[in-house]
Amino acid sequence: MEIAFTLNGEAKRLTVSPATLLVELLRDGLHLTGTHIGCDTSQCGACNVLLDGEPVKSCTLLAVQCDGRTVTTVEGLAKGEALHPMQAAFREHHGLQCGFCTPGMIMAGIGIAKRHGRDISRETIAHELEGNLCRCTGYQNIVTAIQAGAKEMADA
Amino acid sequence: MHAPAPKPPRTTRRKFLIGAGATVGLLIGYAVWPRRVPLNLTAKPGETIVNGWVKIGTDGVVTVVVPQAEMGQGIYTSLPQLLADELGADWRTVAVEPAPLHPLYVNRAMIEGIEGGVPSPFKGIATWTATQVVERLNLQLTGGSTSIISYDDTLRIAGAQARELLCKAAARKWDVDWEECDTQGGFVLHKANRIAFADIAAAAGEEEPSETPKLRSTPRLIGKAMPRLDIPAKTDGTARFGVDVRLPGMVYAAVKAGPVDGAALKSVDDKAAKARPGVVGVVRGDNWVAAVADTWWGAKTALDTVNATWETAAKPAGPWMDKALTDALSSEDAKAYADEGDVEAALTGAGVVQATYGVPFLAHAALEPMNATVRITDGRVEVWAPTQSQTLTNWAVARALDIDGEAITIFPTLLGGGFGRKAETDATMQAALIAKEIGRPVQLIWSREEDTHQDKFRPAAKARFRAKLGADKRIEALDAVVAVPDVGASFFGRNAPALAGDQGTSGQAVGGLASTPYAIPNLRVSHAFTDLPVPVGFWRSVEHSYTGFFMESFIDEMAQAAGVDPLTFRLRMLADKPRHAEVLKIAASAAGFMAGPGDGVARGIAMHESFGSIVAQVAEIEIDAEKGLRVTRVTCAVDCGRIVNPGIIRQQIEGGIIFGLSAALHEAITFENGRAVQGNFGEFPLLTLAETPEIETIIVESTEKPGGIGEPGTPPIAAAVANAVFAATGVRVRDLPFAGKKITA
Amino acid sequence: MREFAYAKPASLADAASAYASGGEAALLAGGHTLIPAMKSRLRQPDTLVDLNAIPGLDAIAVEGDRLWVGALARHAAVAASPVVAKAIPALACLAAGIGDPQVRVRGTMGGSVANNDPAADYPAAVLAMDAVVETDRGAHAADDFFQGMFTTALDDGEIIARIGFRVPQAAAYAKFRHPASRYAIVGVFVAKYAGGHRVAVTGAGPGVFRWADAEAALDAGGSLDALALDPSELNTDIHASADYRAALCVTMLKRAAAQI
Repeated sequence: MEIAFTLNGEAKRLTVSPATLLVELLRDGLHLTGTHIGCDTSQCGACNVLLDGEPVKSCTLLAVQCDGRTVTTVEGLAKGEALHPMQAAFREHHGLQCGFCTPGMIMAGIGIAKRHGRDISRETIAHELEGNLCRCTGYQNIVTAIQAGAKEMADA
Repeated sequence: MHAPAPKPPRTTRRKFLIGAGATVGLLIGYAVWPRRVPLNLTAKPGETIVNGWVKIGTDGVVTVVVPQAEMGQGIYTSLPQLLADELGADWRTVAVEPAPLHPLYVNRAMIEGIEGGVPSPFKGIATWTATQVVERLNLQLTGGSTSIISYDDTLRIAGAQARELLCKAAARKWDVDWEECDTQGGFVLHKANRIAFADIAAAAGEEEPSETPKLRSTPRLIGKAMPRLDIPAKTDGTARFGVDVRLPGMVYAAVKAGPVDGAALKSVDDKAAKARPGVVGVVRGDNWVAAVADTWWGAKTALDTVNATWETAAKPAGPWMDKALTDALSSEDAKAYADEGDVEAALTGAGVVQATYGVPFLAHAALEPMNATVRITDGRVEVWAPTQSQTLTNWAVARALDIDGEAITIFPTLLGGGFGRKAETDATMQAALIAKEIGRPVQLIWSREEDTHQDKFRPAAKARFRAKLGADKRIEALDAVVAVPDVGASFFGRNAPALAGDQGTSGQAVGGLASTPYAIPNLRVSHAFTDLPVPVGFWRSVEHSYTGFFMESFIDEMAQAAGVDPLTFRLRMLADKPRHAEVLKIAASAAGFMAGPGDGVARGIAMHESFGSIVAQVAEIEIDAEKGLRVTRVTCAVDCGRIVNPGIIRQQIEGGIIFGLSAALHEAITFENGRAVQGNFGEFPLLTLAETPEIETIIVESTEKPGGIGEPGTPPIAAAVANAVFAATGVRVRDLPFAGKKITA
Repeated sequence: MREFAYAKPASLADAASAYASGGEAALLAGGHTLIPAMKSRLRQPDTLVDLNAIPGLDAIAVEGDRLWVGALARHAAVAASPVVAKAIPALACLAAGIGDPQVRVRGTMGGSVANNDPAADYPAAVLAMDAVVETDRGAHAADDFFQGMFTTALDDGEIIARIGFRVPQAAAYAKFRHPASRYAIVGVFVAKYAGGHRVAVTGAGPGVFRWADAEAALDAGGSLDALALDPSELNTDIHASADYRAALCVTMLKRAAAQI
């Protein structure tokens, strides 16, 4: 069936099977490979994208459910050359090691910043990141990055 | 400034061999190899290959050639840092390129081993000398925390040599003595003269290198937390992991294999799968079946409809293995790898303390599952894989397709976590066979369940320790037996059959015990090799992941028996090991270990040396009546020799602690009827952020040669936690994981 | 996941007819139970009827002595709703503890209640707060609604419209969470009414159930220490044995009761 949605700021009109998962459309259909699949069961958060600005798990969303809505992937966060403040904060604070979970972490971080505003405690971030798994980092730099990114987002 | 015309890739031969003191000859150029293997490093337009390790472009970009896989450990930063420091490059212009498969880039330390913490599973695999092995095998392998150890000298010398070439070219231009020139921030300098690398690199390529370039006395970049070079691409979605490769006409494959013992495929009913839209085919291997479709999810769902059955082994993996390990502890066949003094005589009479420990099988659970992409065109095979070893990947594909390794080109991608798992070649072999049968480029991705079910597991192990205190309240005699399969033999049996040695003969299984730093006059450490029908592999810190837990738990038990506090007890046996004693003291003092339980916090301490680095950790815990055990804080001191990048060291130590803590608290793989019971993260939960303790890492200043850093953070943590639990409750946990155990204050 | 037809009706009536004419059909709300079930082939519908375009199904309002939550209200919306926070703060807390933030943005109350997963949180609230489950065909009392694992009083194709919780004098929910899925290994919801306490337990057994002994003990105001559930009727899995679950039920009951 035909769906129309905004992807990374661009209007898209595509024909998809209803059984197509959003993550499948993004990665295999549109070659937007920044969004990853770590568990395929909505546990790890590597597939997080923004749906109408809210982070959601794209492995548990059908592409047809995005009809008429706005989807943003990690490739679409930056405005031209200017990184999104949360991306910049992950860079600045080395909030990653292997980087596989990072796009999902950045999306979760944006959601946290939107919900909690400028000044967020480490405990709140830790609690709110429970839908994201990382196997490498020890998480500490991720928390620092999200704290800093939230400040930047509020001040921007 | 003039801009030289882009030059074609250099093909001239260049002297290469640089003697470096008493160590192995170091290869930084490419004159000798071309006798049989020309350097296959290529230059883009405008780039000059200065030597085998660095290219400089007319745009000023300094591209460092890195043979090691970037799997999160930061090697795409720390190796370039070594070279850029000597070169005098501007860090902002440094780029990285993975090295091609070539003997120039072999990992020597992997085979030759390192003092104090020999990681080498290669011991005893061949009759050649270690150097012959490394060169003949052309072994590029990221593992054993060897990257810095192996390439430290090479990259610094390569950088120094490149600097001299730039200086010579600039000096010729200025008509000055080249030895009076220096480099800084991407420029060659001589008094008022300065010229950018970009503008002199081509000319530098014409200069003759010296055989013994001088190293800088004062580092500029080494020892600093330089920004990681791999981060930008990883935050904007442009980083390419194995699963992110996209080729024209590519199709996707999903696979399922049978029992872990490799039992053969018996029957396959794939009618339903083949009838599905988008399905390209179903491919059968000896013990696996794969579905291929135009999307990965299409392949996965098609595979779900394939009914396959497998042969059954006589004794498939199952709960019986636990007893097999226990029985092996009493085996007469245990082989001793340390036997000092007279242990039997010393361990008679009263006062012998005995304890038995156990750890379960574990999965690696890298977030990026196993995958590979293969394209076969006119007899040429191209492989894109997140691999820890180009060499093993090359051999595996050659074996699988029965072709010459020369026909294979490997493009290593970034790794979404490795931890030892991605040194294995199973997925790549499958991908090659599928691509051959389907006749199109294929990307094979394992599902999370397949990744767990078909892991090459950290082996389960049991250990029995017996010891006795001397009159001085130190350990007079210690006898340790470890029952465990042989990781090295299992790995090589799969990945390099020609090299596989006899099982249970390498002593690797008791690494970290036989070489214990504690002064114990009568010491015997034995490996009771236990053959279990489960493939086992290298898992972050390998045998140290259990020997650290066994030894440091038992040392605590002996301290308790001696009535001496755990810190003092350890220090008394480290009189001849000042580095170890220092690391312990630093961790203890930073954590307030000697404050004892009086402040309401229970602490446990542990220290373990592995991969050439010494790590001590103090774990602080809370035991909540409802929520159970929680590790609140870990204080870690590490002596890893000379510091290359403190930021990366800290990250690796933190990551290593969390990896070990996740295993200690939650992780276990069990088997029924030859299959792993656990599949996705619901059954194999990883430590979450909310459970993560605060971690403080103290890096000890040192002038010793660098040790490994990717793995040494992992071994001590389980024992530190167990020792803290004992301090809090008097309960000694001797079997991991802690999950499911009733621990109450 | 096999191919299926997709319908996005704009009213409950249209949804019912799309369901009726759709062969083996399934209703899609948040999708966080259904889509995983379809992915693992536990559900293989011919037609998926997406309820998300039906206006008004996400409304939250107090009417008389009941708090009504629309079937399509997301967990995040319940957690953040000032109406819920004022009427039944324990329900907002429960919603805030379901899954993780990304799941809460999608998952709905109706989906959770209709699915009746034995480890889901909402069924405990529905049962403990004597709720009414209003559908396109009528209404069900909570005590009759849950009929064991994944089974409810809903007829095939019957669509939940909204759920009305009888507002208690006080209520609290305590849960021992699975570390990865955040489902309840054991969850106990306690609601206090003028007529006495109602206690519902989720996660522990094959479906949500009321715990009569606990209600009596709370009504009597006595000690809860002597309470014990029969482990032979509780679940055992790799996360917790039946004995451990029985013990956790008492612990969670005390924790919830302490907040009332």
